[in-house]
Amino acid sequence: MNRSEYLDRIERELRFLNAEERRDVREDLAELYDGLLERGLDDDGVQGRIGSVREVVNEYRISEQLDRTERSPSAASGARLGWMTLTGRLARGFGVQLFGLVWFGLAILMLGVFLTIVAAVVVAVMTAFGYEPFVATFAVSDASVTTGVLVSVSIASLALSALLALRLLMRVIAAQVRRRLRSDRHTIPRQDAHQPGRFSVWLNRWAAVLHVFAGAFALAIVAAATYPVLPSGEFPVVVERTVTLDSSAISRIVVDATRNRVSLVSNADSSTREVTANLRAEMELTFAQLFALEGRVAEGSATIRSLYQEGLSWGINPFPELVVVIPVDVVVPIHIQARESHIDVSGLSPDHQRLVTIE
Amino acid sequence: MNAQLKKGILDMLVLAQIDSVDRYGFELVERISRHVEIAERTIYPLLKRLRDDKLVTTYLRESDQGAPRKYYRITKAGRRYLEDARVAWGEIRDGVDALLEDNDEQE
Repeated sequence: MNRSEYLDRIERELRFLNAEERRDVREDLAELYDGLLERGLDDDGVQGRIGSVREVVNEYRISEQLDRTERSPSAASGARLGWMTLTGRLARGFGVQLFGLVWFGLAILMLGVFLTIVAAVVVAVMTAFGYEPFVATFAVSDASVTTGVLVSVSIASLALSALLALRLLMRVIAAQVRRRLRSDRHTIPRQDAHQPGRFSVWLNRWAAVLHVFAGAFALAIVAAATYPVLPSGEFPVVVERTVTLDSSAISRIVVDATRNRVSLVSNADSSTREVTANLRAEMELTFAQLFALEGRVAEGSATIRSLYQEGLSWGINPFPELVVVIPVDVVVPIHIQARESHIDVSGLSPDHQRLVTIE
Repeated sequence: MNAQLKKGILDMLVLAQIDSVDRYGFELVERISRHVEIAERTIYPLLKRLRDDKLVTTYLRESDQGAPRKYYRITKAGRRYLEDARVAWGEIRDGVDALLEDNDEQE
C-alpha cells in the first residue's frame, strides 16, 4: 500500500468525523508520513511506525469518545474540572445555565406566537361562520392590536426568563457555597456540617418569594399590554333632520382611541376641532358632554361605554358599524347597522328602544 | 512506561512544547518522542482534541521543504490549563516519590 492508498483508506474509515475533520486528519497524517519518509524509512517502515489503518482509526475514535465524555455535563464536575479554578467552574456553570435559559425563552416566545396564530385562525373561522367573538375586534379588525398581543407575549417571556435567571443564579450560588463548605468540611465542627443545607433552604425560600413577585409582575405586564382598547376609525354622523342644523353642524366624530383623542369635524369648512378625552380611563364621557365641549347642547344618555356594552349584549360588535344619528332637537337616537337580522332589543328600556333603529 | 499513564500527561507535554514558541505537528512528535517513547500516531488525535477544546489554535505557515505546515499556538485557556497541570503534576510527583521512598525505607 503506497502513501496515497494508506491515507485514503484512513480518511474513508474515519466515518465518525465530518468531512472537514477528515480532511484535517489526512493533512496531519500526510505531514507525519512525509516526516518519517525524510528520516529514510520506506512506505512499509512509515506505515509500521504510524500503525495500521485500524490502529490509527481507533486512536482517533478513542480520542473522540474521550472528548465527548469530557464535554458531558456529568464529567463537568469530574476530573477535567479538577484542573479548573473556582471562578472557572462558576463561569462554566453560568455558560450552561444561560444557554438553557436562552432556549427556554425562545421556546416560550415561539409558543406565544403559535398560540396567537391559533387564536387568529379560530377567530377568522368563527367570523366566517357568522359568529363575531369579542376578540375579533382585536385579532382581526385591527392588526396593530395583534402586534400588541405578540409584544405582550414577548414581554411575558422575557419576564419569565428573568425570573428563571434569578432562580438559577441563586441555585448556582447555593451550589458553589455548598461545594466550598463541603471542601472545607474537615475544618468545620461537626455540628456545623448541616449549615449548607440550612443556607440552601433559606435561599430557596427567598427564591420562592421572588418567584411570586416576578410572576405577579409578568401577569401585570400581560394584563396592561392586552387591556382592551377601543378600535380607531371614523364614525360618520348621519343627520336625520336637517332643519335645525346650520352650516357649522358637526359632520363627523373621529374617535382615535389609540391617541385618546376625539375630533369633531365641522360640516361647513371641514375644519377639525380636537377634544382630548381619555377614552380608556374616562369612558363615561357622554355625547351630551361631547357636544357641550363643542359649544352646543344636545341631549343624550348613552355613553361610549354603554353603547359598546349594549352592542355586545345584542350579540354584535357595534363599533365598526356604528352610526350615530344626531338630530339637534331633542334626543340622540342611536342607529346601528348590523349584519345580524335577529337582534333582540326587547330587553332594552322603551326609551332605548325608541332611540335605536336597525338597518 | 505504561501507555495510559503517558497519555494522561501528554496534554501537558504538548502544551509545554508550544508554551513559548509555535511548532508544527511533526516537530512536536520529534521533540516529545526524543524523551518519551510514544507512538507517533497518538500525538495528532491529541492535537485535534486540544484544538477542539480551544486550548490551541492552528495556522498555516509556508515551508521551504514543501507544502505549508500547520503550526500550533497555545491559547490563554491552554496556558491556564498548563499552569494548573504543572501544579497538579508537581503534587502527584512529590506524593508518589514520598510514597515510593517511604515504602523502600520500610522494606
